[in-house]
Order: sequence, then C-alpha cells, then structure tokens
Amino acid sequence: MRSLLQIAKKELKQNIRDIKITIIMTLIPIAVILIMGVALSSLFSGEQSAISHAQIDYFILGDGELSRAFETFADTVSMENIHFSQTNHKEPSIQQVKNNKNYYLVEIDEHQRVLKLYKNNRQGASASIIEGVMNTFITHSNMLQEVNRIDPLHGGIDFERGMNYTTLKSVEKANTPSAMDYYGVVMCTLFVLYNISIPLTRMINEKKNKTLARMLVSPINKKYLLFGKLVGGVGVTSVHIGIVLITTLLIFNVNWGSNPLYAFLLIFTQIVLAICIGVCLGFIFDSEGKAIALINVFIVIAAFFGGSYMPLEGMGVLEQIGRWFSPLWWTNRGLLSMIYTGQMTFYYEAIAINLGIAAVFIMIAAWRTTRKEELLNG
Amino acid sequence: MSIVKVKQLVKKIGDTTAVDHVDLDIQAGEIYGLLGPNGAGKTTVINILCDMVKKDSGELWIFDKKIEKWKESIKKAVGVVPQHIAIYNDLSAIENIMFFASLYGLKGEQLKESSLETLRFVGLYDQQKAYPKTFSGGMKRRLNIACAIAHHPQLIIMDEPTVGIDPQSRSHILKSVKKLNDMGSTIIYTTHYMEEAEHICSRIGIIDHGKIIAEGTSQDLQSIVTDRKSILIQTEIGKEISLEGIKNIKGVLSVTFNDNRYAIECLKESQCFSDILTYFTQKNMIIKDIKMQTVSLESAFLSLTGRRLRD
Repeated sequence: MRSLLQIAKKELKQNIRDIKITIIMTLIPIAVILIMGVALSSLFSGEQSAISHAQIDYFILGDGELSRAFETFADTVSMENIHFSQTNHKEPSIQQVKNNKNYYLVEIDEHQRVLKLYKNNRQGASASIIEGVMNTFITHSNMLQEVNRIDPLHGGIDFERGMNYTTLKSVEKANTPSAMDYYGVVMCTLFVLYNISIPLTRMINEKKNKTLARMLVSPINKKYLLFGKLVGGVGVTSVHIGIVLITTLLIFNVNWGSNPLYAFLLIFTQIVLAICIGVCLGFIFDSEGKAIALINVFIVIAAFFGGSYMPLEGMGVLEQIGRWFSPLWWTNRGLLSMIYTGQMTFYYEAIAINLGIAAVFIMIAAWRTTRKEELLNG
Repeated sequence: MSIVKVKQLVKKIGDTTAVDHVDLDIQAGEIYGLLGPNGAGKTTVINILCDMVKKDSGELWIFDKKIEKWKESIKKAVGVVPQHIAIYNDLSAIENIMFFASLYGLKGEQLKESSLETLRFVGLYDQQKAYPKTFSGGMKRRLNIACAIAHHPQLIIMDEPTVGIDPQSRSHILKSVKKLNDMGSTIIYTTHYMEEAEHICSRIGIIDHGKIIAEGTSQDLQSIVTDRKSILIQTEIGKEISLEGIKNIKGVLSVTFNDNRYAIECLKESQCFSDILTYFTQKNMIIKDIKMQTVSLESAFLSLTGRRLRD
C-alpha cells in the first residue's frame, strides 16, 4: 500500500512539474470555452427572446376609447423586440405585411368600433405568440364593445381598466443553456477526454526509458504499480479540470445546476475513465506516435458525435450515433439533462457507464502487468 | 554460502536458444564477471536472475533458497543496475534515489539518510537537488547505480554499468563496485570491457551462444590458452618499425605497439622468437627489454569464442 502512494506521489510530482501539460490542460480549455461561449452566443436560443424582432403597425380611423385602449396596450406589451408604430397610410402598411417586412397591421376603426388584424401566414413561431396576445386584446375589446352597445347605461366600463390583458415583459423559451453554459460543460468533458494522452505518454516513456522495468524488478505488488499510476493520474487531472470548472463557475457563470457538486462528480467519473484508458493503452502500445494518433482520431469523432462542437438536437440519425461509443455523448447528456431538466436518470446512467468501462480497461491493464517480458521489450 | 546457483538453465526466444543449459554458482563476497559478445545471452541470464524473464527450464537458487515463486523478501535483498540509464529526468537526484529505494521498503528517516549516504557514495552529494537532464553521461550512470544500491542489497546485478562514459567516471564506478564488494555485497557484473573484468572480477564466466564456455579467475582463463605465447619487447624512445613487417614473420598472430613496447602474440610451437629478434636487429632497433608473458584475457576470449568481445 505504501508503494502505491509512493508511485501516486511520483506521478503527481512529475505531472505538476510539467508546465506545458498544465497550461494545455487548464488555460486552453478556459480560452476555448470563452471563445466558443462568446462567438457562438447568437446561435443559442437560450439567450434570445422567443420573439425575434417584430414590427407592428397600427392605423387609427377616428378617435375614441378603443384607440386609446390599444395605445395603452401597445405601451404595455412593447418591449425590446416588439415595436408598435402608428401609421397614417393603411395601404403601404398592408403591403409591408404582405412583403413580410412587418408582422401585423392593426386597424382600429372608431366609427364602426371594431379592430381588424392583418397578418402574413409565412411568419413563424414568434408571430404566433404575438398573434395570440393580439387576439386576446381584440377579442376582449370587441366583447366590451358589444357590452357597451347592448347596455349603454353601463357604458361606464373603462376600456383601459377593463382590459385585463397580460403584461408581456419578456417572452423566454423554456430553460435552455446559453452558449457559455453549453460550451462550459461540453468543453470541460472534451478536455477530460484529452487527458487520456497524459498517462498513455508517460507509460510508453516509462517503457522506453526502462524505468518501468526497474519498477517491475522491485518487490512491489504489480497491482500497486497499476493503481499508483491511476491514483496519480486521476489526482493531477482532477487538479487541472478542477481549475477549469472553478473558472467556468465563478468567472464565466456557467450553469452547473443547482448543486454543481453533482456535475463535478459525474466529471470525476469521466476523469477516472480517461485515466484508465490512458494507462491501459500505455501498457499495450509501444509507439507513442501511433497511440496518440489513434487517440486523437477517436477523440475528434467522439467529440463530433458527443455534441462537443455543436448541439446535436434535431440532427436526426447523427444525434444518436455517439451513444454507442462516445463517452462525451453520455456524459454530456447526463450533465445537461441534470442541469436543465433536473432529470437524474441519464446522470446516473453516465456514471455507471463511465465506471463500468473504466473497470474493463483496468482489468486489461492488470493483465498486461503480468506480461513482464513483453513490457521489458517495449 | 552460495548467493546465486543456477542449474541447467534454458531459455528460448523464438527459434533461438538464448540460454543453453547454463550452470552458475556464485559465492558470497564474489565479484562475478559475465563476459560475452553481443547476443551471447548474458542479459537474458541476468533478466532471469532478477525475475524479468521466465526460464523455460532449469533450477535457480538465490541466497540458498530455491526459487519457485519470487518472494518479496528475496527481491528486497537484490539490487539491479540496468544497462539503460533508467532514471527520471523530471525528478531530482535525491528524489530518484528515494523513489526507487522506497519501493524496496525503506521509509521515513532511514530512507532519507540512506539516500543521502548513497549520493555521497557515488559522488553526487552536491548535486542532490539537481535534475539528471543537467548531468553528464558519467553522472547519470552513477545515479543509475545509486538507485539500485540505496537499500543496501546483498546481491547487486550490474548489466554493463560503464557503457559510454568518460574514463574518470569509469574509474569512479569501478572503485565504487570494489567498495560495495568490500562492504559485503556480492556482485554480478557484465561488461564489454575486458580490462574491467580483469581488474575487478574475482571470477569470470565466458558466455557465447547461450553457453558458459569457460569459467575461472583471469589467470585461469589465460592459462586455458596453451597454443600461443606472448612476447613484450621494449625499444628505444623515438624509433618505430612497421607493424606490418612484424606481422609478416611466420607464426606471428598479432602485434600492438604502445609506449615503446611491442606486444607480439605468436603460435607456441613456431620458431618465431629468433626471427623477431633478427627483424628488429635488421631494422637497427635497440632492444632495451624482452619479456615472455602469458596471453591476455582478450586473447583468451578470442581463442575460446573465435570472435572479439566487441563483435
């Protein structure tokens, strides 16, 4: 057991002293998260109003309570992305709606005491939301109009007070990640996977430099050699990724859920997986170049199908390919579903898959430690 | 007490028999030299002795205990100096020694004290905090040795520990090996340098094609060669004659010239002695001294294996 700690301590020392690796595994992910989070913010709906820029013209014919009520309504629902403008020319405004330039034209006829809505059916979801609000107002006002007509004695119904329309301050979509939130999560998991290369390179160098052979002739239990390497690798990667996580949490305000420790625990299991893969491949491969090339190809494919470069939602078949081989796919799914929907099923599933696969790689590596002659000639 | 005993050891690597029915018996306090050209099988023997390679057949005893399965207590008493410089460049000298010594069970103050003592022993005490990447080849070799001896092993196996270093470092290492032996360690030493074996080894085994073909002290091995004799002729300073001319004399096998001395080896049965003297006289050389010698270990090796040690 003491030798396990000695080996872990040595691994930690060596990795922490490697400034190049520390920079690559801390500053680069932080920079990438910042760049992706800022550069791609406009592509993420979570940062936009559900209503994109909407121009609504209104045309008032005559003067009366109805038009005053509409103006009050317009003031109330008007917000950054919805603009109401009064027009004195009905026909050009109708043309604008036809040409899809404006969303709507509202005609307020005080003489006939009716409201008419001109719309373009080519408008999308944003228009439907506005239409719903507008229809509420129109139905409500027409109804009050009818009441006044039937019972003029009680025409004292105040349009403005009687209109109980919704105050529309901001219409947001459901809880979805911003670009910074999204890339904060997926880049962390991606860079965890890049950590496979560290124990892998170290193992191959130990074989080449014959320090592994030197350890193998010593009286230590070979299990301790393997687990010492794992503990050291997991320790140093946890430090690297911990720096990234804390930066994203405190400086970039990335959403890691109501309790970030849950997210960090899942990422920790991914670190264990990455280090087990790295150590195992290090025991198997003799050529660093070949091993790193293989890992890089794997990571690029796993990242693409794991949603590291872009969200895969709505991409049909592509969305599901990663589930069969990409640790990023299931880890990202577990994290994002836990953070944004509070659903823990995928979260626990990801922990189980990460640790399960890690165990398989440990067993392969343990078997390799018994093949001393092959390691000697590596 | 027998420290290492091997009976009929066999190891095949592919179609080649790397170790072919080798018998060894190394006694406590010996420096046993294993000599052989590249590919002779000496490193394979050493790898079997330190549990890096499994034998195909044969029996092995270490410290008089038969090895069926290696025990921790036996491994703790063995130190292995590999041929490669197997140290970490990103750990300081003392950290390297402390790490490897800790694998042999040393801990706490004992670990630190023993590591410092070892650094002093190999002459690297002042560089204890320096990183090996700043070391010369000789210093790295000394650190390589230090990592194997800090736990004070009873048996030290050294696989060509002086390859590729300067004469000063070699001399330091050879003195250290002698000192370790004086301090009670038994040493198995392989080398390419015949003079090293001749200088430090109490017994030498010559291995070729996986077989031990001769064994004994340096003198024993030299006396095995009975078909040749060696003549040493010292001449006057500043005058030389062609070595080719001497080589052309009937019966002469080889000739070297160093420091006004001609070392000539010739077949014992030949009548070359008078021919050589005549040749020197004809060339007006003044002979200051003549000695008849036994053949060198190098010649003995050549005679036994048919090839030079560095072939």
